[in-house]
Parts: sequence; C-alpha cells; structure tokens
Amino acid sequence: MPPSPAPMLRILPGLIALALLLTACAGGAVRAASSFPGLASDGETAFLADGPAIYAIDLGSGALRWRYPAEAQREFSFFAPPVLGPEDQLIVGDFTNHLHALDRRNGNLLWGPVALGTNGANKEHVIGGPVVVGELVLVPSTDGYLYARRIGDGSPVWSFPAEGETPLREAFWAAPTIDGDRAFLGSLDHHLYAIDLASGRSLWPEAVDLSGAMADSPALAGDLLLVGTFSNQLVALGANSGEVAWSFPTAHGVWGSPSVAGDLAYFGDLGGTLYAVSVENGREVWRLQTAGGIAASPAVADGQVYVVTENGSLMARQASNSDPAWQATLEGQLLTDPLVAGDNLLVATTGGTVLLSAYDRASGAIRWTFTAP
Amino acid sequence: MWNTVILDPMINSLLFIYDLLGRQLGLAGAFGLAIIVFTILIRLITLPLTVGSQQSMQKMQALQQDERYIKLQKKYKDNKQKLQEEQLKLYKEMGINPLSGCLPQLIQLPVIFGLYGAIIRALSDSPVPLLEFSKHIYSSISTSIIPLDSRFLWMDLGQPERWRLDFLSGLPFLADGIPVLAIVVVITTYLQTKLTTPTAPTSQGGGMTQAMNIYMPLLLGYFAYSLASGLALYFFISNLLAIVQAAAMKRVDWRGLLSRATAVVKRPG
Repeated sequence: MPPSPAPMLRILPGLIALALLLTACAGGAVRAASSFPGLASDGETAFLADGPAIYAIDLGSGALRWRYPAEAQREFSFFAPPVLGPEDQLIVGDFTNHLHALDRRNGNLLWGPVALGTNGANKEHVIGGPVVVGELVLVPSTDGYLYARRIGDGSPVWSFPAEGETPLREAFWAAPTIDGDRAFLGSLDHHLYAIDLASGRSLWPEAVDLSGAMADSPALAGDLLLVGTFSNQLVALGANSGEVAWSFPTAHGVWGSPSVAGDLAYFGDLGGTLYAVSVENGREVWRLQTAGGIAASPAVADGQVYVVTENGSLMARQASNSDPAWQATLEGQLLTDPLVAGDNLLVATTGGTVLLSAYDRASGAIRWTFTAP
Repeated sequence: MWNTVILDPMINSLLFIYDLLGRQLGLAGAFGLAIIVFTILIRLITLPLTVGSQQSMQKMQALQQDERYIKLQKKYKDNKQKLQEEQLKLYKEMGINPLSGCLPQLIQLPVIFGLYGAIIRALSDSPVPLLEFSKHIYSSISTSIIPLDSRFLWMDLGQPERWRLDFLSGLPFLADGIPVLAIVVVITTYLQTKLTTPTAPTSQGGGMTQAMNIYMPLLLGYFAYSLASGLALYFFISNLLAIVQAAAMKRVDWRGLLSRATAVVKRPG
C-alpha cells in the first residue's frame, strides 16, 4: 500500500528545514575560508588588506586615500600583508592565488593579476605576504610552492616545492625570511626550508622536520633562526647548518613569529602566555599570562613590547621586565601583527566594526580609527 | 553546551583515532579511516537504542493483528479524534511507541550535525577557522598532527565528492565529475530503510515511517552531494553497518526486497 499523503507532507517541511539548517549552520557547502587582515606601511600610508579590498589609509589622519579594487569584485579577496616594491610599487597576493602590482600613490594597477601555479583561480590562497628581494618577488602559496616572480611584470623565474610527492595543500602560509642570497621558509608540513635565491634550490640536503606546523615566518637573530611551531615549542636553529641549537617548550602552540630586540626574543602562545627568552640559549627571562590567546607576533620598539590577543586586548609592556605601560581593549579579535609606524602603533581588527586603529605608542592614546567606507 | 557535549568529544575522538592510525601506525588516508572507525563506534554506542526500537516496531506489527486494535478501527472509523485517543491508550497499555519507526533515524540527527561540524573544523584550510579549531582540541591530544591530511582514496574529505573523468568535462551537469558517493548514499539509505524498517500501513506511525523511507535517501543524498564528503562517507558506512547489524539480528528479508513495499520482520518467538 502506498504511504498516505498526509504524513508525507507533514514530514517534508521538517526535512527541508533540517537540510537548510545543516547547510547554513555548517557554513555552506564547503569549508569556510578566511584569514586575518594583512598590514604594511611606508611611513606615510598604511596599507590594509582586509577581505574585498586593499585600503590605503593616511597615517596622519586615518583618512582613506584609495582602495583597490575601486568596487568590490567577487573573484578577489585580500588578506596577505602587502609589500613595498621599487618605484612606488605595492605588491599584493590574493586569496585566489594571484599576484597584483599597484601604484601605491593612487592604487592603479601596474600589472596583473597574475595567476600563480598552473591552475590559476582556484581554491589555493596567498596567505603569507610576498617579499621583495632585488628584482624578485617571492610569494608563498597554500598550493605548496614558493614562487619567484620578476618584480617588473610578474613573470615566472622559478618555483620551489614543499617536500614529498604529494605536499599538503596548505603548505606555505608565511612569508619567507631573507638573509642575503638565501630565504628561509617555515611550512605547515612541519618542515623548515632553506632556499638559494639565485637557483630556487634547497641549500640543505633535506628540509628540517620540526614535528609541528609553522604558520608564520622564522625570525633571524645573528646566525640563528627562531621559529614557533604548533608542537608547543620555540626552536632555534643554525641558519647555516639547520641544526637545532636549543628549543623552548611552551604550554600551547606558537603561531606568530618571535620578535627579536637586543638579546631577547618575544613571542606568545595560543594559550595567551607572552614569553621573553634569551636568544643565546633559550633561557626564560620573563613570562606574562594574558586573558586571550596570542596568534600575532609582538612588536618591539623603544624598550616596549606591544602584544595583541584574540579577545581584543592590546597591551604595552616594558620589554625588560614586562611591567605594564598602558593597555586598551578593542571590539573584535586581534590576530594581525601590530605594526610600529613612526610614533604610531597600528592595530588591525578581525570581526570588529573598526578595521584599523592608530595609537600613540608612548601614551596609548587613540589617534584615529578607520572603518570601511 | 553543544560544544561540550557533542562537538568537542567528536572532534577529539576523530583526532585520537587519526593520530593512532596515521602517526602511530603510518596508515595512508588516516582521516577517512578515522571516520570509518568513528562510525563503527557510534553504531556500537547506539546499539541498545536500535535494538529497543526494533523490538518496539515488532510489537507495533503484532498490534496490527490484535483484535482490540481491529475493533477500534471499525468502531471509530468516522471519528478520527476518538480513534486516535483510543489508539494511544492501547499503545500505552502495550508499551508501544507509535513513532518508533523513525527513532533510529532521528537519533542520527545530533550525530550528523556534530560530525559535520567536527569534519569541517578538523579540515580547516585557512587561518581563522584553524585558530578556532585549535580551541576545541583537548590538551591530551598532540597538536603536532595539525594540519590533518584530508585525502582519502580519490576524495578530499573536506569538500563535496566528485569522480572526475576527462571525457565528461564537456557535459553541462557532469563537468565537475560524477557524485559517486552521493549516489551510493541514496542507494544504501534506500536499501537500509527498506530492509530494516517495518511499517504499519494503516497507522499514523506507519505512514510516517513510510514517508521517512522515501525522504531519508533523498535528504541524505542531498547532504552527500552538497556537503563535505567526510559526512557522506559516514552515511555510507553507517548504512552498511545498519544492514549488517539487522542481518545479524535476523531482521531482514532479502528475498522480499524487490517484491514487497516493506520489509518483513520476523515475529518474536
């Protein structure tokens, strides 16, 4: 006997609602993709990559100078920190694996968008910022390649693959660190790579496996590379040999790069502890427990360390002993590295109404805020 | 509450199994295997509920033949409300839940929601979702397993599954590939409901069960088509296990599959 229509019709709306609910609650048909805003400055203008646009913001007033693209385009979104190039260039990588070169005075497109890799506009992203070295721009991509492109037109020079036959899709999230004619690159595939800039080949016989993902760049301190990993440690390696000099255990994973000032390295972990350790031997000098996780690299200038936390806290502390200088609370998450620009401290927000705030570094007084027009 | 009771235990169970299979045993496709092992565990945990539900359905079938039930149908055939009231009394007296046919499927709902949330979080491929995901991980789980390898056979378990064939790339509806897993989910869900869910055609509960037998394959097929394939893998394995489980309990009639509208449930005793 066929089912009677009444119960069938009674159930149908519920099932449709269920389907919609699951799809909506889960964030759509595929994994959500988003990142932190990227931030750079040339001393007069702040360049903020935040979703649909690159915003050029006057450092003195907080006024918008230009935005790129002028109108939001569905195919492009930007999160990687822009990088300054020669002749007023501003190079930006986007979230669909393309490279754009802009005139940083007016936001006009100079060349691009140039697709990275062979599959162009796809699910791969540029998350870590590009780096300019001489005539090259180096671009890390989540497709597992570091791309070297000519600064003049974005044409390919070489590409460096992550190790293994099938590298993890999410391999490179961080900008490479440059030291002369070599680049050092941390990867989500747990490896740290050393690359010869002339040839694009590995300098070490094999990449160093640090048993934990690296989401941010290594910091260079003399002959040492300092890098934080998701396996709850900060590791120091010889830049020439790749051999581990020391490691410092943390309570939680380390996302952001350490910032080095003098003989100390400052970094935070995702549990919210800010550490100051000796660069020479990894000995702890002080630690400070904050209320929210720390994903961003601290900024250090003029004897103060500036740290931001996931729950919206901005703190200025004495770099020598962690004594408080000033503190502020912002709406939204603070995941982007705070940036020192003259006597300003620039702080970008994720998920807040205000996109960028400028603070007086000495007093903590707020100078201006920028919201999307 | 949802995170504490459902989501976080699911995420960490998956991570624990993934770590065991992938890092400790060195197996390829560890996240897919983790989902399969997780599905088996869920089936084992919900086994008492499934068995109880099956027994309740058997009682329901027996009730269809009961003289008191038949008399009620005749006596109140023109008074639906009264019939319903009397039926409910009879159900209560005999310890029957009239909606028991739906129960095995309904108890899957929190598992489906939780597992889907766990899969998309575990396979985060950009910074903000990965940072959010890290907050769900228990301290006893090693974070060195991040990021998880989402590949399993031809699938990316964080994306909807498609079997890509070059010669189909010119066709408008199959340019992205054939949704093999979604088709398999529809077929196995249909078989599973047909083989293991008896219905009482004249009762409201029976009608509901029959409606579920039609809608569930379509609904799960839609999920498998449009959501992360890790969830579709769960549906497929769960269906297979349900059929095996019912067969082990001797509650399916394989021969009656094609010839009868509903599965025959063996009467107790």
